[in-house]
Amino acid sequence: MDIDTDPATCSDSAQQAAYSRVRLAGGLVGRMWLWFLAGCLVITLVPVLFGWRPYLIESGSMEPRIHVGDVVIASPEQDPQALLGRVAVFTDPDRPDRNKTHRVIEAADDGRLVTKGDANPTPDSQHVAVSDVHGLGRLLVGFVGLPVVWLQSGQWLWLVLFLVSIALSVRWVSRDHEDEQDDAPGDPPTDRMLSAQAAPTRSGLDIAASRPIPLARASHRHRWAWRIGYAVALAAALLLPTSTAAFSATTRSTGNSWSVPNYDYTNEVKALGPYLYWKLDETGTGTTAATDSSGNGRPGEYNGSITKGITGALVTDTPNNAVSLTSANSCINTASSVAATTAPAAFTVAAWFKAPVGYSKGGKLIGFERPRTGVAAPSVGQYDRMLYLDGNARLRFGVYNGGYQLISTAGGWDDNAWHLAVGTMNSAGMALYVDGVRVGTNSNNAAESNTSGWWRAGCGNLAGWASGWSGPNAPPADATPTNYTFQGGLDEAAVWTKALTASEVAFLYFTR
Amino acid sequence: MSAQSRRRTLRAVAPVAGLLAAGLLVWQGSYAAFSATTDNAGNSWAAGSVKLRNDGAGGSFAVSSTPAAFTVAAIKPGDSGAKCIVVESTADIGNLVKLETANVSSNALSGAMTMKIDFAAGQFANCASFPASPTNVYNSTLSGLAAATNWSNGLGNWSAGTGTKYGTYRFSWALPGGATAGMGQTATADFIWEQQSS
Repeated sequence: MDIDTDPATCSDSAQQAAYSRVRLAGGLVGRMWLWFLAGCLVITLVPVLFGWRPYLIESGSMEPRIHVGDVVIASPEQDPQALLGRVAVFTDPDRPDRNKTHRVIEAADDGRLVTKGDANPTPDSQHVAVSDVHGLGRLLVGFVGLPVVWLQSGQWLWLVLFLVSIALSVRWVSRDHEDEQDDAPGDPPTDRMLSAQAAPTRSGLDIAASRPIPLARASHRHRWAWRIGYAVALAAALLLPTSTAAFSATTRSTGNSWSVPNYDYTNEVKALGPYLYWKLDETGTGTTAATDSSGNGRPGEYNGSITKGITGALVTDTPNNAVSLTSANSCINTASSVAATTAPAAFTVAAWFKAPVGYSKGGKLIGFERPRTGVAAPSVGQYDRMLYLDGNARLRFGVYNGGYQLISTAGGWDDNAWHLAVGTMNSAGMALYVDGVRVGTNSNNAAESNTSGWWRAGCGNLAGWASGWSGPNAPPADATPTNYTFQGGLDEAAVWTKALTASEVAFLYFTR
Repeated sequence: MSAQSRRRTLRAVAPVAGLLAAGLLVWQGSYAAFSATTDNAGNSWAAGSVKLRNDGAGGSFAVSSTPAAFTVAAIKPGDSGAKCIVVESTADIGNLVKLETANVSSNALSGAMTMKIDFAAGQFANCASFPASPTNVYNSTLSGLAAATNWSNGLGNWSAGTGTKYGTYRFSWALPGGATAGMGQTATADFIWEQQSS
């Protein structure tokens, strides 16, 4: 490929001199470029001998100081004080399979390092463990990794231009190399001249053919040495550990909060406008009146054997008192001072109850009844709109509408724990809730009407209500009035002349 | 000096010049990049390539922190609400935006509350005209948001692209009617959007 010049051109013709200067300039540029590249490569790779490691930068968040394609050479360093304010290479906490090169701006309270890209508006969101730091940036070899970046990102034009620049430089240098041989002091004018003179004596080969051979061989070897050298260097460069200097930014919406106050069960019951509300907080054996907290002046009276002041159902209530009905004739009736009222068409009955384990006596928690105290057969008395337990301590909600309309829970509640029982009825039908959760509905929307009576808690007639009863102590026929006292804990008995909604009931339980 | 020896000198100097240039490049670059000063902080980002701001649910855009979008008090079971926070991305390179959290409470209320987060590209301040079929980013308990603490477990993958782009995140919270715990408690969460060049 070298131009095979005629020996005659060795003469210093003006044209030849100009041509030679161009070749010299090309050779110088080529040499500088190749030596520059070689220098960069050597500087990149030699520190490896001292345990320093080069990292190719793949993204630009350390601009303007560190660019994409730069190689950062880092020395092992894990002393936080030495790292502070400096550029470090570390395992990216966000992407543990990658390295990141950012500046260490401070040490966090937990000993981790806060890092930030110079070009990023905010520090990195994740702090870096000191043990994840690979090194401290020592040397920056500018742009030397660009060919690798071009290769990886497919910027073929730049890559090709780069390779062409190397090829051209090699070509220029090897051409100029011929002239260099001419200029060598003490040597015969040129190899070419020498071969031209010696050829006849050396061999019988055609001079024109043989003359360039030694030179061509030398320049081939030269070129191949360069090519192999570059291939090796490029391969080494491709193996460079890479490090991103990822651009990142954050923005925040802080201090969001959702608060649930300490609701007070008593206040919430009152806020729902009860017809009567016996908190059953009274203490002392001599106390007979159960205060009505509804504000409507409908107190109850404690009758029979009742233990007052047991621990109630509302842990946040003060006092958290309840009562325990302890004999078969115990009851909490509406006080005699309260006039009878017409049974409401829409209503809610609610009470907290606690049945001993294995409780099988059944009993009424709360209900509407006439007479005010004691029991009477349906020919005289009336009783429905009630919550009661059967012989298996299943909770039932019943009204009488020419027939026995019932909702019953599947299982018993004799677990010696407080539960909130709520029964509601209005024109939409009946619903039974336990602990705020609706456990059953009944489309019946009417109860015994045009009767007057009083509310009572803890006892009442169940004669005739044997339908669906499970367990022992089933009620007799309604001609045999039989009082069923719930012999367990009772608390927070309340009545509304409207049906509470499911969410109101759930909320009441929530505020317990 | 003869032309020959001048050429020889030039040829000898050329490698030295190349090596010197390489050394100079390295020395200068290293000096600029690794000097111990931190004078760069904060002011060079204008030339930076990614930037995020959020409108704090209908307020004005801010880079760092916007006031709480939610300060909901006196919650009852069955209550719910939703707000939209618009995030503005200004970038000149490919990037990804994720939603992360901090200061997420772990009490019973946080376990009872639900949070649904939907994303739609575009600017829908105050949820006005928020698309009917957004991309769901999260739908579980509020306390579960605590798992999204950093880039690797961040929520959503909004590829904002270059230029100034908007994405809207709708946060729908609820305390289900059946909640039985959480009284007297406060649930908290910080929402953090992080953007990284891809």
